[in-house]
Amino acid sequence: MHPQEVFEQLFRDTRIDLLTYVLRRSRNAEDAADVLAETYLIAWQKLEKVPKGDRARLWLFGVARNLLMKGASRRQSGNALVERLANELRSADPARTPLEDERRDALRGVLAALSVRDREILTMTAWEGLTPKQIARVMGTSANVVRVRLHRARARLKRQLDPEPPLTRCAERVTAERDW
Amino acid sequence: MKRDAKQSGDQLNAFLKAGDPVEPSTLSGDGIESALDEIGAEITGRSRRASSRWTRRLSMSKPRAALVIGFATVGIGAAVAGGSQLSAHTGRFQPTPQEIAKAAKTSPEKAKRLKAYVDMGGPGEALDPTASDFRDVALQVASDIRWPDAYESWRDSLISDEIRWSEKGTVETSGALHGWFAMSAFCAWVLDWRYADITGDPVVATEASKVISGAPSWKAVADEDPHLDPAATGEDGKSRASLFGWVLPFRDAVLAGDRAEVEHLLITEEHGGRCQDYDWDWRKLREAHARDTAWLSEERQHYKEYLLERRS
Repeated sequence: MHPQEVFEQLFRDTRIDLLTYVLRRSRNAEDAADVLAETYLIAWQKLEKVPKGDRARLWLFGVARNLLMKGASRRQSGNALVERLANELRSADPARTPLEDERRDALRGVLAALSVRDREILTMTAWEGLTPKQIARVMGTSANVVRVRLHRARARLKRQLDPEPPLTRCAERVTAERDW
Repeated sequence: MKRDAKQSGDQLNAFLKAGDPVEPSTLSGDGIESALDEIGAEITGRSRRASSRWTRRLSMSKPRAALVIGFATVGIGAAVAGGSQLSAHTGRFQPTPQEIAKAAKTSPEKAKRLKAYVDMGGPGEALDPTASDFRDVALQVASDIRWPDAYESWRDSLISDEIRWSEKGTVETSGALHGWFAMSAFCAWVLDWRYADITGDPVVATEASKVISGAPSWKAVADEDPHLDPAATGEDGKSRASLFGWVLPFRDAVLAGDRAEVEHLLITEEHGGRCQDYDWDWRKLREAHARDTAWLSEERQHYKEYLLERRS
């Protein structure tokens, strides 16, 4: 298959997943659009290194993760296509409704005391639905380490949820509503 | 028990999921799809050899430390600011029990919050694992913990693992690190007891069982988990998790001389014990098969065989 066809297939198959991933972890739509574009440009330039199948998505997450960690800013780039995507994202307003802000605030409060990497593992598990093995691919470590971290982070999270009445109520309400 | 643990994990995931800052279904609109199409076309129109970046990036004066969410700078959860950290000691400490008690007199809510920081992050000082002296500091933290002679290397392996994992902006409390060391040492003593029991070495077995019986009162354990509860994985998914609760079934099995139960606990990792993860030889073996799905699907069986081989 021609490289362009390979890339286009990759782009079609993964772009919404990657967009969701970077939006969840970016300060704003501009940064998310910028990281997404940069990630795919790297994929295009290193197409031979992009693994096949679902691992391609994880590889892209890993590249985006590195870009996010570098704290890159696009503030002076002014790329028109990135701006357009950012505008579309702002129009779509993918942020959850204000009603749910309370939950997010509660979650932030709960997670705030975890280390960055433990938060990362917890959220990749919950938000992207990744397994420890998949997270390990994204983070460039072993599944074993992720499993340990996930276990520990969950234990701490659980300790936090159980003894704290306001957060416990929030968690129970969320569970109940989802069941309903 | 595994099912209960899964149920509990599912509930935590549900809580986290509810805090997802993005509603994915809103991202499939025509406007976004069209904008993405244009970006894709722009990329494939570029040379694949080009090294130029998509945009001209400027380093921020202060790198964004929090990767996942831009958390407010609260307590120990706050990331260390950018820039090289000269020492692993940050001089920032979690609230002490005395401070929490004092806060409770004027603001119960604040006291709860302070306690939550400790429950989540562990007690003690925030340490920077990226600092050049982290290994020395970690050795100081581990100084009151003893490994069996044959397992001394586990301490260094754990420190190396922490360093390997370190990223700028990450902090780890001395209490949490102390707890990791305690878990590692406890597992080492369990394995040491097992081998002594197999080989009929009463001196080593007695020493190991003595150390194991005292583990619940180790400072590292008591600081993090003063109320050990092996059922903490939760019959109802709501009971309080206990970081070291799994130590008790191991201790009881060792004191009863029940090697079969010890091996059962090692293999099944019931009650949340993770001794397999501290066994560095096993970890190397497992990582050597990390991409072997057939091997991984039989991982428990392989671990059984690994344990059997360690009999000789």
